[in-house]
Amino acid sequence: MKKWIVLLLGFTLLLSSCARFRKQNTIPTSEPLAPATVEESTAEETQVEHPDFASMSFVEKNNLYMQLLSEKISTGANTSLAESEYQKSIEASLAGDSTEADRALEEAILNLLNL
Amino acid sequence: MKKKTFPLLLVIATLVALIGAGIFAPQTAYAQSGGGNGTLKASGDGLAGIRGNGDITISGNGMLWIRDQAGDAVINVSGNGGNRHEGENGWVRYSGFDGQATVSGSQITVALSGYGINLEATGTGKFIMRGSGSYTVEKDGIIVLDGAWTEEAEVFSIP
Repeated sequence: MKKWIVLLLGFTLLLSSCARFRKQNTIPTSEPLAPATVEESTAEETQVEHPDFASMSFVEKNNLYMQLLSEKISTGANTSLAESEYQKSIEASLAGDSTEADRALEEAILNLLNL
Repeated sequence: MKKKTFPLLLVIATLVALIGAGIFAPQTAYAQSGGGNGTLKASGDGLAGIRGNGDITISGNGMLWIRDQAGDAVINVSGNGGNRHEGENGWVRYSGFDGQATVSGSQITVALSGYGINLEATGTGKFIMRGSGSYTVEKDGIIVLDGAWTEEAEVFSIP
């Protein structure tokens, strides 16, 4: 009888470990980190000083966008292209695509800087 | 006696193993489950976005985006709603928003980008919280998910 109890305890631990291991493997991993630098650049964009996006957090980039947008709107500039890019950024964020969201946000900032 | 006891112990051992695995399962597993109305509460700075069906109340400062895909949404913006602009793909944007918005509908998307964001939503759907802040998801009086806003866009479900 004691032998059976020992065997059952071993079996229980094995089952528990297997089940936990399987669940941990199903956890969705976070999105890969965004590229450190923005490779795309055009001749027009090189005319302005680019922010160091790689060293900025999402909140910092987001705040920069809103600050620039406010400034450009107050001067009467046409910000529709930047706002369209920003909308793409929001849609990508809602889809869980951080890379595309950050790319579009950075593009929106560059659009505003070039106005 | 031994022949009768062994199958009983085997069943008990299996049940213990399965229950143990459930207890130790990571919290995110709850977010994947579905089936009913949950309540999301969040506050922070950055971008708060939610899409689904139900009732959403959001307040803060910044830029508010609302999309009504089913055409049945009831939208009420109070305080300083800022400049309202109809954009592409059914989006409505409120620039310079500083107030509160309540949105109800079956296929709605609401996003507020800025600071001092407070959001409460009841229904089913998915949400993201980017920046700094915290959130909880409650269902049937029990908090089934909680966490901090993230740098990356991580999509969670309201079960």
